[in-house]
Amino acid sequence: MIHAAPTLIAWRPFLDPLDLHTLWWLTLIPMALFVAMAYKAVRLPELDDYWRSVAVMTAQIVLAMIALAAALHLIIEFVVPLLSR
Amino acid sequence: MTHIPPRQPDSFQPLAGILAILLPGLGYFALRQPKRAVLTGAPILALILMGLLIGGLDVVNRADAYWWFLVQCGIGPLAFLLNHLRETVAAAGTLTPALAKVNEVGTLYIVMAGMLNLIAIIDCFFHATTDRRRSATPTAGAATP
Repeated sequence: MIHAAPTLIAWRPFLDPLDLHTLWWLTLIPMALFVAMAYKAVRLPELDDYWRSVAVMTAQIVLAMIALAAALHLIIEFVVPLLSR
Repeated sequence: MTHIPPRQPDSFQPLAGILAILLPGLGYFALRQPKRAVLTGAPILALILMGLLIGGLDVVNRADAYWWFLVQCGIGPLAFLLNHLRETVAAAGTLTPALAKVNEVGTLYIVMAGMLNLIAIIDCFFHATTDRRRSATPTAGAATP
């Protein structure tokens, strides 16, 4: 039991990094949401339509990143091997 | 509809700008826009908090990641405070360095917070009225003769 104690308190917030080495890409979603929230709060003339604008911008960011990743995947997996022949 | 008191277009607001530098979102309180202050400050502070939770204090590193730190300074004195905390904790030997993607993501979160707060700071210093903002949007601007 004494030996298990350090394992139970393995993650110390702000001192230890989170073990997200395989799931790091999921952090894109909250980042996109917070970026959209802050940007729209500054940019919109009136805040009546705020949450709809935030939802649209969040979706745009996430979809653009997916498209960018797919495009880079295609280039690296297919175009570069073709060029190197 | 949110009522915003009339001001001169793009009027210079030094107090609001300085408050925006001190803490994200604070400048809009000086401009009597509490809703905008909360909606700007809360996500910027959430980005900082999440960056610190993901990568730990090691993601604000003036010594080893100077150029990233420079952009992170957009969040104001908080960046220097976090860097000082990191140095103190690292000297005590209790800080685990963040590596690879986790370090990158954590750093990027606070970099994004810095850049967004920089936009908010500029907006607070040179604040446009609601009418001016409305005319700057593409759809409303097209309708304006």
